[in-house]
Amino acid sequence: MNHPDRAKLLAYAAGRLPEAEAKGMEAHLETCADCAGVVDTHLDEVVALGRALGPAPVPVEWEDRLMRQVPRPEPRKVTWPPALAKRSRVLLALEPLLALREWDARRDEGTRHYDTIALTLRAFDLIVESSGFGAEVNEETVIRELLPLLHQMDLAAGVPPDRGQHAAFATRLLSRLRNDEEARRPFRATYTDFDQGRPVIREVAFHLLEEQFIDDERFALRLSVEATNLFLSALDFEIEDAQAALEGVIQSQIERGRFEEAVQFARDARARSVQLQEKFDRLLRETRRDMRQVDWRTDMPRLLGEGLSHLQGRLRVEQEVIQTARERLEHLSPGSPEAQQVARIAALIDECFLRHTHLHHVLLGAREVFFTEQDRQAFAPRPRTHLPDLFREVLEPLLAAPRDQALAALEGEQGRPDLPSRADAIRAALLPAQAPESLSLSDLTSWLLRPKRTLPATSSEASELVWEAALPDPLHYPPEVQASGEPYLQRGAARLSQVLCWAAQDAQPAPVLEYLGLRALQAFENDRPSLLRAEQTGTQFEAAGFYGHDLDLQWSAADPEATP
Amino acid sequence: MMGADDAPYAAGRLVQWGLRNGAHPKRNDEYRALLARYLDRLEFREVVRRFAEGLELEILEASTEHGMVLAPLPGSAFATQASDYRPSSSEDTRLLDGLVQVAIAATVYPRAMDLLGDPTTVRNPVTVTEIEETLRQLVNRLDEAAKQQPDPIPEEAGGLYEAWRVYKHRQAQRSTKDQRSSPLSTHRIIEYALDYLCKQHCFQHKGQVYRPLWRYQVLVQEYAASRAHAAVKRALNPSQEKL
Repeated sequence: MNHPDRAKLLAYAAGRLPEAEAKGMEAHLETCADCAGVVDTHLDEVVALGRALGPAPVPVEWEDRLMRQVPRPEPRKVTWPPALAKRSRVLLALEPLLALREWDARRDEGTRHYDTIALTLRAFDLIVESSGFGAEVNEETVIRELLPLLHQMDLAAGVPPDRGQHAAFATRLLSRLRNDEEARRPFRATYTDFDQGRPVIREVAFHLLEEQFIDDERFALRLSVEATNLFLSALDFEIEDAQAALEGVIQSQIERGRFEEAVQFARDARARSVQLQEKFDRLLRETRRDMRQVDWRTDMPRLLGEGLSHLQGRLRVEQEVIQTARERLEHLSPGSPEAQQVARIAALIDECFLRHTHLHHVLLGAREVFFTEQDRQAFAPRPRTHLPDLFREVLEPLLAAPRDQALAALEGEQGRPDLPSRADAIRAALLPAQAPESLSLSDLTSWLLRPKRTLPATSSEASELVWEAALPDPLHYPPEVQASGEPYLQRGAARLSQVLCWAAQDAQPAPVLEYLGLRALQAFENDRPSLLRAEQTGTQFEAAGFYGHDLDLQWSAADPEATP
Repeated sequence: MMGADDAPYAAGRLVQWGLRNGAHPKRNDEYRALLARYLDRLEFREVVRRFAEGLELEILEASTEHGMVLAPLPGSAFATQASDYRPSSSEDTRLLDGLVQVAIAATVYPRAMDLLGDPTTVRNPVTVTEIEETLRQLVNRLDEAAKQQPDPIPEEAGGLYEAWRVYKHRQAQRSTKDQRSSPLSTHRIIEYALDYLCKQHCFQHKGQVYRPLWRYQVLVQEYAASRAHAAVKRALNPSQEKL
């Protein structure tokens, strides 16, 4: 047998033989124990040497090559139901409310114990309960309803209640919910959505509380859709779905006799119906203002279709609920609390029914609004080409401008002759149009031809006074009073206080005392002929219910009756 | 002879209702019916629009809930004249009156994006003090910047006396000899402006607070803001006028 030389055997052990030779060597080693022993011994030595040297670093390129050859598992596909994004948006509406809790902790000790979340929920409840046909609440009403809660919170915290502080605090709370600090702009928050498996950061803008015009001088507080969703615990539903769920619950509760809960659900259902109406009112209003603000290509037709089918369903269910309520009423004793609750449910759902009937009519005419506005707005000029920052782009340049130029900008051609005619005048633009005063010649003529009014006399010639016989007393004192008072004056020289005391001691009635006082004053004034004289004593008196300067009374000697 | 049922007559009736400050469709059946017709009938709407255009008026907004808001086009007979606003006033007072009107609008709409809001949503109320402080801050800032510049040329020698100096030299609160507030103090000028807007049914006054009404919000958002900006550009950059 031909044995390979030792060098070849060692080369094979080290893996350095060419492939063809290595195959021949393997065949030989299977049959030759001596050669196989040489190879094994060499390999044992190599292993021992390797262990003695310790681990050697693997070249990077080897590792890369190896990793490329390792089969990789397929990446798992991201699944992200659209409902999660919707729920994210609804949950983010909690952010301003949670900020209120932080505000609780930051406030001073006098107001730290006010639970703003509780107060907010009560405010929301009031607004939801009163929203509907012209029964909306305004800021003052909500504040008035919050005052007792704040009062009780003070008592519980051992703080002396202060009504003024309560009103101020309630005002601040509503101001925060409206975001007054940021000029009532919407709250903003970001959330992660997934678009075709890739994360996308989106922003949501929302209001919680808004103030709307009811008419030209009245305002009402309204909850936004987001706040309504939060308040009515309907995170999973859009407005329409929540309404369907609520009405289903109401019907079930009426049938089971759980009227108290059903009343609350009926209130919620009414709030939902108001929200639904406002949603479409707003869309149509936006369309009338600027139809480009509303997506009439895809969103609006879809919303209208969904809205109409939803309303048809609602009207049917509402009729059923009202019918169920009426049937229950027949079995309840009139005037009982249960009967009153069922009647209340029927009234609330009836209100929803009326509102939905009206809304159904509005939605049927919505497409007509679209076509009309399309015709009107398609070629209408767009005056609002640029929305300026009024501070930075109008007020500041005006203040910084030379006075004459600023006045020209404010008053247009009135202020600056070199401006082109019919130039804009800022002040005129900022004030509404008003009918100019015009002269009516006929009115002027008739006014001028009116007979001259006699002017009231400012002074008149004083005629000489002709004194009649002295009247001893004012005419309105009857003769019997005068007769009772006169004897006290006839008693001779005396002070007024003394005369009044005499009459009082004799239990003379008040008119007699008044008569005596008046006679004394007439004598003191000395403006008519009288034999009774009165002079100041310089002292004060208080007697018989009278007080003032005391007078000395005496009769002139010429008076035959003056002798006592 | 025009009948009461033909479109031009009805258009005239609607425009005259729109010109009445105190008129409201909820209180007047004819006004409400005309507004409904205006909103429902495109041909009637066109007649009303042309009618108003002839009177140099622009229809900014019409709704059966709130009424109609008309704006006077530049040079219109329906625009408020300086003498209507404040009879017999000096140039400086007229300047301050105008600046205060701009400041009121800017306080209600502090940023451009606010002008995009829904006019039926009530905006923040304002107070006299708030507007006064806003203007004073702006004036003080311009004053600080001017201190770095050379002294201004007196107004007689070229009219380069800036508008902010007029405001700065007016006292905020000034009392007359009989201890009444002077009508020429900036505080009273702002109060006068807000009271005037209340008479025009643009604001509502309650205590210290003045609340903007729908009429004012529509006027500023739909018309006055962009017009004011255009006027500033035209008057303060004469070179652009020739373009």
